[in-house]
Amino acid sequence: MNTISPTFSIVVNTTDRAKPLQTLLRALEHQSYPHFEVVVVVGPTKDETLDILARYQDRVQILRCPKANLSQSRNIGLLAARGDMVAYIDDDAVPSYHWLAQLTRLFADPMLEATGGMVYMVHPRQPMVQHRIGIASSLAEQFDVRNSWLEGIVPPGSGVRWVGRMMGTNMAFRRRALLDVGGFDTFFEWLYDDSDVSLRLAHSGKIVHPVKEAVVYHAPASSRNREAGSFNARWWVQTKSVLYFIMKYGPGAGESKRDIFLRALHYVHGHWLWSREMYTYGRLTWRQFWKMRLAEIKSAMIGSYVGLMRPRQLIEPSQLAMSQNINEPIRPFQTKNSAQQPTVDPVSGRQATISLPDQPLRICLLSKAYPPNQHEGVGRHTNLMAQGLFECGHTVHVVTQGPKDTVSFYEGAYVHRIPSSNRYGRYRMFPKLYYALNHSHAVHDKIKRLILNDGIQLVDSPLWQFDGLVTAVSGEIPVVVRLQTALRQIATLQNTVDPDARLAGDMEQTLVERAAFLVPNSQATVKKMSSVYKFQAAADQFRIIPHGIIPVEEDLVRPFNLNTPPTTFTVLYLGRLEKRKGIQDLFAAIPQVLAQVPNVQFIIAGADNSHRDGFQQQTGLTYAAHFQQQYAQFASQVSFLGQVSEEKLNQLYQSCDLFVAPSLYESFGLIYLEAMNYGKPVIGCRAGGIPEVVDDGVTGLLAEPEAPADLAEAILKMLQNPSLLREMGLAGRQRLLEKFTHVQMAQQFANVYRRIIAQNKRSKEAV
Amino acid sequence: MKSTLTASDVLADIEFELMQGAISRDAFGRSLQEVRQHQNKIRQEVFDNDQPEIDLRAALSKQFQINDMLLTLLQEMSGGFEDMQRKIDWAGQARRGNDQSTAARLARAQTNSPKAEELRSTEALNETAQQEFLHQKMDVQPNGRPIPILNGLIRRIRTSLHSLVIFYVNKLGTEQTTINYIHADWIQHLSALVRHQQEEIEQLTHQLAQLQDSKTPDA
Repeated sequence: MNTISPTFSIVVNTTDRAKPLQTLLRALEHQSYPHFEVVVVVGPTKDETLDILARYQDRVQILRCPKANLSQSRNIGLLAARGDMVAYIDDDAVPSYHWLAQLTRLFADPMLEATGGMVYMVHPRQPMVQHRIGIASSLAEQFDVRNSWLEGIVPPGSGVRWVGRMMGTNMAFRRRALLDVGGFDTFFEWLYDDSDVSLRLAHSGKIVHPVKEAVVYHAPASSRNREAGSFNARWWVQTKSVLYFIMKYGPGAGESKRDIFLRALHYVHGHWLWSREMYTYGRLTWRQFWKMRLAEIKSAMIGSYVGLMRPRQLIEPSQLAMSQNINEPIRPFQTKNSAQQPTVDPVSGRQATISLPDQPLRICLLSKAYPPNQHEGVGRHTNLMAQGLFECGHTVHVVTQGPKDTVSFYEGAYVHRIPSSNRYGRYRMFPKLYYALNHSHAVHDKIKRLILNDGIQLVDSPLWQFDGLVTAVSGEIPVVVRLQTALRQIATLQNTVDPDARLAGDMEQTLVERAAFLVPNSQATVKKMSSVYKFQAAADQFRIIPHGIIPVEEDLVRPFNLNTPPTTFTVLYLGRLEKRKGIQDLFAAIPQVLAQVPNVQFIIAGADNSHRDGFQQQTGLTYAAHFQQQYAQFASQVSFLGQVSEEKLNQLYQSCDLFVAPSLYESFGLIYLEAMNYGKPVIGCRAGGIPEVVDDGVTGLLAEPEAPADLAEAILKMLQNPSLLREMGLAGRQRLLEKFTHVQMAQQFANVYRRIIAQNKRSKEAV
Repeated sequence: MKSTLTASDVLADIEFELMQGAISRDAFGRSLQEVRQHQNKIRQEVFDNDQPEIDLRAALSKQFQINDMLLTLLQEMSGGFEDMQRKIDWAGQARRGNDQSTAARLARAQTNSPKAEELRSTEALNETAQQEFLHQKMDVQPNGRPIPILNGLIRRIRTSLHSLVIFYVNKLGTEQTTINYIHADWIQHLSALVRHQQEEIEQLTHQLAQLQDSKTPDA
């Protein structure tokens, strides 16, 4: 073995999966450990797999397997491999950035012969942990997802011998060790080949030790054996493998004949019942159901017979001897341009369209709430940043809250959902602090793993709920903090400064103090933060980056024809119904508007927050009920929609003529951008960051806050002059395209990140 | 507690939790506990007088299961020790700080395999670094919002309580460092053994080649 840097042969076995294979090859350009070759073994393929591989022929060993037999294909790859280690990865999976580096670290233990890391299924519809330190028994029982070293090592199954097993999607061996045991048994044409080889290695005294590191992200694609996302598969192939497995291992592992017979019977009977269940729930057709049942019986008989009567189907000794003597150097896969390649979406295979002059970054964004489950402000902003960064070619990981540990690839980012930790039980009497701190620590634990496996270079945390506090305190990685609205600011506005809010505010302040860099979203935020947190950052410690959104398609921007202006105008208000959003001022302005321009319909969309801002306690009514009682004569011209879906929201923006949001304070005012996106003129107040978004007199009009007459005047000015509506709407759209797109926002963030990463690197080198 | 808790107290807690995570004794302790519990259960099953007599095959099977658990634990420990060794190497080099090129090489070694020569070159440094760790002490700086009249008293009580906690933390830390020292010692012993074995293997390979050469017809 090369004692300086061990070399790897990555073996990929593929049949009719051209697109996922292309994705994997693109992802392999990003491996941090460069000493590897790629061996692709192609089965009897009918799609464009060979055309794709032709582009890589100067740096990939391309081999053919005559049969659609996974073990045979794996053996062909093994015999051609020239690396010290052989790592197998599925053609529909992508490795984490440090996958090979982690495997190298593990193989530094000279006794270790085989290992394999975690496998996350990343499809957004069914994210789950597919494999984590799994084990298998001599009776073909498998426990794939375990939390600790010893969990289930004596599981409630009947198998006597339990051995650590790797999943075929992510497994690595010392080449010599795998050749010593004769490679894979070709009877296993699909499934259980991984458990079989683990048991054979273990039986021959070699150490097989799966781990939690060296992560692989799996996006299962359809194959001849299984239709992705359905239960329609050739399950009987699995039955054949299992019966063969039991017959081969059971007697040698000390199982009684009775146990072996019962296990085989239970397995086949289980599949028999399962097929019935799938048919009952409509997952299988009548034809598929009976085909499965008959095939199960036939496969069980073949598996048992061959297992008992025939020898193993391993690599021929002559081939083994030839392969063991291979001492050629590997042909490296990566080129000098590899590091420059943009990141790739592991599910769709899409890559960024913008080419980068520099190496792409690996960034971790934090947000406690995140789409598609939650659509609140910080989560939406984080999501837009993730999409923008992906479009610029960077790899983005988002850490958010979830009921269990899963990863899905959603809109340009690996979304890691983590349950909260329970370390700070002593702060239970301070709920805000307790939940935020526990989440922050769970986030930190995840970040440590992301540093280890995915090589993240920087963490970006919102100030809101101080997600990145524990990481910032640990000093393990630089934390950039996005300054938007703060807990202390809201507590001050709502006059709820209790000890809990005070401590939560203190933690926000600590995060600001420990941040490597600050990114406020507007000049107004800088001012507000200075007053709330006595924050006096020097000019080189922060940079204002305005929010950006995804521009909608041009054909969705439909300004009315000036020759035929609308006969009835629609004015849209969007936002929570609460004092801070200026809803009472709008109510007072509506009668003044309708008195002069009666052909107006007001639409008010958003959740009623009257029970929180004290309005309901004061009046006994919700905002909608209050309006209908106070201004009954105008009630027919004002519709209250309540909270609306994302889809409905876009429809409302598209169909309105004027957008009004007279907020008393907005740190930025994303809603104005959303209206401008559809070419709509906007009316806001001269407060907070709103004047930085709305160009007064150009893209809309600004009124004084808490001045209903001023607001009514601005609305009237617009409605009485349809050409103004049209011009300002189009000017707003133009301003958005020039200054406020998600890609422009991401580019500015990337510049900041690059600077901080370089600074951090320099300071580490200095130490 | 509600009225006196400060941001500094919370920060101290966060740092303490981070320190605990770094020591990472919990997982090891839990696993040992699992082995003990399982063994007790088996002991009861095998030796309990009310139970029917257990046959040899079943008893052996249970013994093998315990062996498997212990082997898994040993393998994990071995991985843990290797990580620790690398960290100690890095820390030792960083402390010395007068050989940038070696420090960079060792930083790379965190992701690459450790080299025998690097292990050899850092053995002395490890020892120095570990001795220094043994003499490290933690201190407490009381910090709180001033309260008229009672402030002095409260501060004294808090300082005393903190000192008491820190006393035990220091004590535990010292014990842990001693354990680390023993572990590191063993790792060094094992790495020396591996080196020795590698040399022996090389010698034997050489001898074998010579023997084969002498047996060829040409010779």
